[in-house]
Amino acid sequence: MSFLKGNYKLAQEVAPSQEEIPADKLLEQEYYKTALSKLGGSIAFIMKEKTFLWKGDEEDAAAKDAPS
Amino acid sequence: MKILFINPVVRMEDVPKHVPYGIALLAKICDLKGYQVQVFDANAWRPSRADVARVLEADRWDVIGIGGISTTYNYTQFLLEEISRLPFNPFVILGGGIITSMPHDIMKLMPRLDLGVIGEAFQTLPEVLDRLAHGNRNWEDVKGVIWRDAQGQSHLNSPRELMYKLDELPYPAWEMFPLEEVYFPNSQTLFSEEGMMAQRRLDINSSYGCSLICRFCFHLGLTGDMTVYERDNNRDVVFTYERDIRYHSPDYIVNLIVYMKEKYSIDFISFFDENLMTMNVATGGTWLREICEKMISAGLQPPHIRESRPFDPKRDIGKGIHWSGTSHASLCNPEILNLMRQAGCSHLVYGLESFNDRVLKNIGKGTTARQNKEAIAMTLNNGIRPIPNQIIGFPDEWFDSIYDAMDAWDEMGVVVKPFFATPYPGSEWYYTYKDRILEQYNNDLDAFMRDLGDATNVTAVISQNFNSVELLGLRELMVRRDRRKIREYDGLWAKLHGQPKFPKFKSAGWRDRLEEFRSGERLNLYVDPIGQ
Repeated sequence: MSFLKGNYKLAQEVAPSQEEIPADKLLEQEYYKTALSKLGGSIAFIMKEKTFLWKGDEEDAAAKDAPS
Repeated sequence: MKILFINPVVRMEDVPKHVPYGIALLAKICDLKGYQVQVFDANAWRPSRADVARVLEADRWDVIGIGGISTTYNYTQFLLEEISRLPFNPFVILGGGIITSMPHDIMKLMPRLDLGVIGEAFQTLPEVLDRLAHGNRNWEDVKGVIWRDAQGQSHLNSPRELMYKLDELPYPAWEMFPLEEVYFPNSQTLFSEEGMMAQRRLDINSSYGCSLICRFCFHLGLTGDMTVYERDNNRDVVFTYERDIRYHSPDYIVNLIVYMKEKYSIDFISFFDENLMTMNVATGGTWLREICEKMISAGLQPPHIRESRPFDPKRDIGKGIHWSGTSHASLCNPEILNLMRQAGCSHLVYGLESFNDRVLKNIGKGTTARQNKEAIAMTLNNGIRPIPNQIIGFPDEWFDSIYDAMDAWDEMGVVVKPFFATPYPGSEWYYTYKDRILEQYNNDLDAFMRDLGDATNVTAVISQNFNSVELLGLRELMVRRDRRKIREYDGLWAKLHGQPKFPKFKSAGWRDRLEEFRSGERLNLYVDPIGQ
């Protein structure tokens, strides 16, 4: 299988790369794909790998720690 | 006496996924009273008109009981038309939120109805049936009903007291519903990996009500919010800020789950409570903790959680019980979330609604944008998926709240297509904006009721800044994160509409207002928003 089809042969074919998904992420990926296809109303989710795990404002914490 | 319970179609856009818990409980109560009971779950079967007619003619029913929420209006009207064609004359009762929210209006819009059960039916329906069984059709002293006199005039009686000994309720009559044929094949819920892999899911309601006052919400008369007032010798319902939440004991709940596991081999439970966290807070944090600890002690903990490894469909499907529920951003805490995960919780639905503090305050949500973000992180950190429900189109929605939502979605990884703020009958905003709502339907209440869906589509608009076309367009652009086009329209908006409006709502002083309302000094319990 190659991305390119033409009237001469390339020295090296460019085939679709096989995305390697770790085994423990397969179910998660399937979940995202399925939920996204039904997105709307109550079907909503959090993309874990895109989530900035917010633990409060660092500035607030810094302000609290700062000597008065 | 032969009773036919009918569960109307709720919405055609989705497959049937939820056994109607109230009807299942009432069917069991009637079964235990010795009545002959059949259940026609139209929402599960989605039958043709001819099949509905065949069901209705399958026996000579003494009573037909229909129950549902406001969005079953269309189908309930269809059922009543079909019942009117029967060659016999069953006594027709309607219950649930559909009639509790507007008893007189529904009796007028549905002339075939003989009687409505207003609020909780666990005690009222048996009393009504007992009278019918004894040939007594005098309804004047039966609490919690609306009935029709010989002239067709509807009369609302005093409200029925709520039932407090909830553990006296029997387990629902799941055996009267098509579990194997319809519900178990639709067990999948797309809210978590474990929910997606559910094979045999059922729902339970472990509590009734919510202590919060979200102005778009309605509690079906089950949480102490409903009262009756009298004016000019006529009674009607009014919904207040009173909250009287009730919950089953942890023992009842866990015993019920064990029974469900043994009898139906379930592997997933959706807790359909309005808000599990309010019950937990009301008990000083003991209620959920006890439920979780007892679930683990009862051997319901999924093995992959016990063994601290990821869920593996090849090994773990059908092992233990996974479950889901409802949470609240300012009431959850890491300790209880961690214990809930240990007990098998896979996802929690959060009505985050907005990431703008002005909007959240006006909703009466009891949260801030910061708490919403903290709740997402806290829930994820404890291994539970938070479901971040969002709504747009609130009365004070404005471009600032739209930008706040998109910024928060990007920051937190939220993937969502929001609901539209919808003024369901029974909610504060239905009454606040009733005139405006009906104007959008040429003052035709029937047309509004028929239009109501699950809030994924625009119906009556209550935003004071955006119309339905704008809301639809903005939602699409928000989902696509197209800030450029939204900013373009933001610049144009003022030329079209002038200054934005930021109404402010208040609940303080409502008890005094209720007295004034009862005495006729006030026309509305709710205060008109300031700054319209």
